[in-house]
Parts: sequence; C-alpha cells; structure tokens
Amino acid sequence: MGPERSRLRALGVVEEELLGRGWRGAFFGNLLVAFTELAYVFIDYRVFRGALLLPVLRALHVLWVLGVLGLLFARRRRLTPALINGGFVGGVLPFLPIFALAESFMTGSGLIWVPMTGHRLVMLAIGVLAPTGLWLGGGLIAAFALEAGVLWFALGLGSHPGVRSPWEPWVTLIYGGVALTMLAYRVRSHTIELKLREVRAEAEALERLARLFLAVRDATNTPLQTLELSIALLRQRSPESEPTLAAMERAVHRIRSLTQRLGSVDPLLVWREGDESFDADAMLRHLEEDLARELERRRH
Amino acid sequence: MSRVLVIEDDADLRTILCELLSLSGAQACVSAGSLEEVQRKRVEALGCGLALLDINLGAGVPSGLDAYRWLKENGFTGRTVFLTGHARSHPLVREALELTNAQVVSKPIESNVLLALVKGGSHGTGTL
Repeated sequence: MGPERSRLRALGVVEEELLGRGWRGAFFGNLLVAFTELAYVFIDYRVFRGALLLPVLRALHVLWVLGVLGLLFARRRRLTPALINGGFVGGVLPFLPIFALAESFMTGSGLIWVPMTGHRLVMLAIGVLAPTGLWLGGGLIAAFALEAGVLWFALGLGSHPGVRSPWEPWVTLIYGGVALTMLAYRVRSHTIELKLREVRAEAEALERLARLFLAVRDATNTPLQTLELSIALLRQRSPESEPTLAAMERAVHRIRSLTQRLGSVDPLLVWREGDESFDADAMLRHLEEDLARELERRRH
Repeated sequence: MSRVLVIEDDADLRTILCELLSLSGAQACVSAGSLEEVQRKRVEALGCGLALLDINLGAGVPSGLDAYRWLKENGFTGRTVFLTGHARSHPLVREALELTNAQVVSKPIESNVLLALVKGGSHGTGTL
C-alpha cells in the first residue's frame, strides 16, 4: 500500500468503498466461473462421451468456487485486501490446468474446434473484474496468454487438422493485450478517482477549518471590543492605574492580532443560504459534535 | 455630542459603550439589545443624532440592518454607524457596505477611533 493510499486511509475517506468494490469484483467473478464451469460439466460430458476426467475436474472447480463464494459472503463485513485478492485468484487459477487438459483432449477427439476460447474469455473477464491492481490482474492475464502460446506450440495445434484458427496464437495474445489495456485503463481511472476524492476531502476539511477560524474570530470580537472600551473607560476613571491598564492594553492587542490572523481564511469561505444569521456558539457546537463523531468513527 | 442610540445584543458591550459615550460628552445614550426593544423606546431612539448598530443581533432575530430600515422608515435623520465582528464577505456585512449613507466599522475598534468617529460627525458612506 503506497503513501497516497495511506494518506487516504488517514483521512478515512475511501477505505471501505475500495474494499467493497474489490469484493464485488471477486464475488461476481467467482459467480461467473461457477455458472460457466457448471455448463461445461455437461458440455465436456457430451463432447468426450464418457471420459469423466474433465467433467469431474470442472465439477470440482464448481465446488471449490462455491466454497470461495461462501467465504467471501461470510466475510463480507470483515474484508481485507488479502481475502479479496485470494478469492479472485482462487477462482481463476484452476482454469489453467483445466484448459490445458481440455485442449489436449480436443486434439484426440477427432472434432473440429476453435482452440483457446476459454483463455480469451477468462483474460477479458480478468481485465473487467480483477481487483484494481496492475500486478495481480496483469500477472493472471500473462499466465493465461503464456499458457495459450505454450499449448499452441507444444500440442502442435498449428498443423492439427481439426483446428480452425488461422491466426493463432497471435489472436489470443491480442486478446491478452486488450484485457491488459482494459485493466490498465481501470487502474488509471481508479487512481484519478482516488486523487479527486482526496482533493475534495481536503477542500472540505479546509473549508471546515476556515469556518472554525471565522467562528472563533467572530465569537471573540465582541468580548475584545468590551475589553478595549473597558480599558478606555478605566483610564478616564482611574488614571493612577495606568501601568496596569497599559499591560491590559498590550494583552488585548496581542489577542487582537491573533484574531486578525484567523480572519485571513475569509476568502476560502463560501456563504450558503441561512448562514447570514448564524450564531458563532451554535457553529462551534456543531463543529465539536462533528469532531466527536469523527473520533468515534476512527475508534471503531 | 448629541444623543446616541446603541443597538448591541451583548449586554456588557452595550453598557460599556453607553458609559464611555456618556463620559465622553454624549447628551444621552439610548441602548437596546434588539429591534423589539428599539421599537419600545421609539421616541428616544428616533430622537438620537447617531445610531451605533451591531449588524448581527443574534441567530434567528432581526438584524442591525432590519433595525436600520425600521429607523429610516420611521423618520430617523441621524447618522448611522454599523459595528460588526463578522468578515467582510458575510452577506449581512456586504449588504451594509452597499448602503449609501451609513458607515461600517469592524470590531474591535480602538476607543479613540470610536470616539473620534462619534464626535467628528463624519457623514456619508465608508468603512473603518
């Protein structure tokens, strides 16, 4: 987790939503895998006519993915990046040996087929659904593209009479490139969104601070005016107290300088309807309540 | 120095202002904490030659600007000086600054400046 993400965490802005978004990708990705593999249990059973290895492996994959889904669902209120990444990788990785076996079995089936269809679909799904980190999704896409290339040459699919894909394995590699581009685009959009959120959160925090400054200054000005005039009054009534009055005057002057500095935030403030009759005490009370709520939120 | 009307919601400041003005030669000081109180002291208030009005008289109550409008509608001919502890960007302060025959002064104002303002009788608009 980089410094930018850490700062956002400190602001308490996006942590929950980031995890929630990752969870949705992992959950729906696994759901998609479960449905697809369930369909292929029957497809492979029909295609390979009684050879049970592949349908059984597909069924085991379905069961495994259902387990992952159950775990993701059970832990949906206690999410961690490790759970989300693990859940996504756990659902996708078993495709690698299954696809390798499927392509190998197809070469001996005597049927005509378009190889690497599964690789292409899975790579695209990773591009769309992988948690928004380039390394995890990029690594998975690379693994599937690499396997497609290796299978193509290792199984001699280029010269196989049943294969109907003249531009392979390049077409599959192009799919991999498209999936990687989609993932990179998602990661970039996500980063921009995080930056925008951070800027907005900081702007809101600054405006709240500006309001606090002005509320403090406004609440201080009238008592300061009272002190200022009281000193003048005492000076007229008791001239013998001059040294004390001079000290009081200097103290008032220092406080006055401070409150004037608080007023420098004035241009930051946007006045809204109803603000014109605000009560500085009420505003300070609201700010204190907001701060108390934020402290409470951070404790949990 | 003529009679002075002081409208200020802070009781301490109101008292001190009136004491200082009286000690500095004002004929009389009519003080009020709200527009309602000014309306109760209608005759004395309208007879003053100078009105020192706090702009914000508290949340949810008529402001110093409302008091100013009431005074003008009821024939007040004296000078008006608004006192405010708020920022220049505050909507009520901006409204006061746009008035043609009133001055706006930011709190806290030094006593000698205040007294010069009251004694000097500078007319017209402006800020301090």
